[in-house]
Amino acid sequence: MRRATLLLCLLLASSAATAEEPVAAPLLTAESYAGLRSAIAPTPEESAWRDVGWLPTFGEAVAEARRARKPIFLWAMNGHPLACV
Amino acid sequence: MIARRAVYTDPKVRALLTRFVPAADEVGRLQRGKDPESLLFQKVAEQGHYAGRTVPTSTRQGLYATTVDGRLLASINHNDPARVAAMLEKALAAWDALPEAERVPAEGWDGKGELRRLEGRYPNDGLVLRLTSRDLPRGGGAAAPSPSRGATDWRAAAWNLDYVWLRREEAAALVPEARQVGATREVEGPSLDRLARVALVDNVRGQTYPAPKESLERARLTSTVTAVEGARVTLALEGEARWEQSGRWPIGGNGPATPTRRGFEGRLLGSATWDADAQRFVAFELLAVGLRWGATQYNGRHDDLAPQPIGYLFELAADGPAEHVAPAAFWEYGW
Repeated sequence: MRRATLLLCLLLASSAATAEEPVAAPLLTAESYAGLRSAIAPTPEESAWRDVGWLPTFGEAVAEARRARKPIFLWAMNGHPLACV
Repeated sequence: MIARRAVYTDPKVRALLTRFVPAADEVGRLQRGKDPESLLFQKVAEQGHYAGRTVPTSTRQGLYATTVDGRLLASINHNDPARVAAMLEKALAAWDALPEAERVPAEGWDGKGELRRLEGRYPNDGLVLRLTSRDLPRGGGAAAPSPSRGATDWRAAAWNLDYVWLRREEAAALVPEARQVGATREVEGPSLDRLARVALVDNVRGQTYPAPKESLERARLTSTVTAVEGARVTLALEGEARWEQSGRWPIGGNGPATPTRRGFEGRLLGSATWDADAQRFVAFELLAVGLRWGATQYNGRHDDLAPQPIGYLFELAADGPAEHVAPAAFWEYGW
């Protein structure tokens, strides 16, 4: 809800442009900083996937699985799944 | 990106994952490498959902459950949490059916040893920043940044992550030499270059390339001391960047390359705290807000080429293993 309100404020602030006018970016100032930061930063819900306790390499999982005597679950993607995909 | 939101927030998937050692890794190196880690992955993958596949691609992307010696328990490549949960249950049933001695055999690779991974270059005494990128609200009432598919499209809420690494001396290059309020420094060299043209690219919907050096038209970051308390120096950061590149990319996927221009123009603003005794940043936050335009092959902008607002948040990464992942364009660092 807080994010939705902030996004609405930012949208209104940048909505002076019409189809004929060039698009303008929101103005980054000390006054607009907190609202823009909140609009960019992931919410706790969006970041929840990071709480799983991922190890960042297959090799580290092998070492840990030997120690913990557990199976390995590996999420393998083009681009590192914990970073830029 | 869809999996982040849909699969790993699902309560059943998360509960099942507690019985595994969860790991994530980049598949390209693993499926082509010749080191013990890659060879073990290839053994697993060639028992899995894409075993032997070469058409339409030879990718081995997906989710794999395996024993430490590469015995596949189950695999899938899907973003439906119910199907992933079913795969995990299948894997656990296979694990439970294994004789104890076969679950973790003594022989085989131990997961240790020297591997030629980029993570081995992690700058322990430098500056590591987590970088979030996201579309910002658009003007003219166009709230959904996915013109061709509407507001239900995952791309309307897309955001991405990357990391920025600075070595100790590159981090120190952000700090004015004089430790007194009002002292300034115009940041230059690799530190500025890495922020302006390697980090400020449009990867909101998928990976793209760093901007070439020759495309950088303006880049400035001014660091000003605003407070000094003992060894702690507080800095205000302010600057701007603009780059534009003309090129040819198959922006719709794997079709023919078409001429396209892409770029970024925007402002930077933030603050940081430098510990002069430890010679490292103990706080750092920087926003970049501006316009992006254009597309490349894999960044999902084929129907969204016109300039639109984008924002970036640079912040200190945590020191845990999950944030030791190398920057996507590490090859551009020249390390």
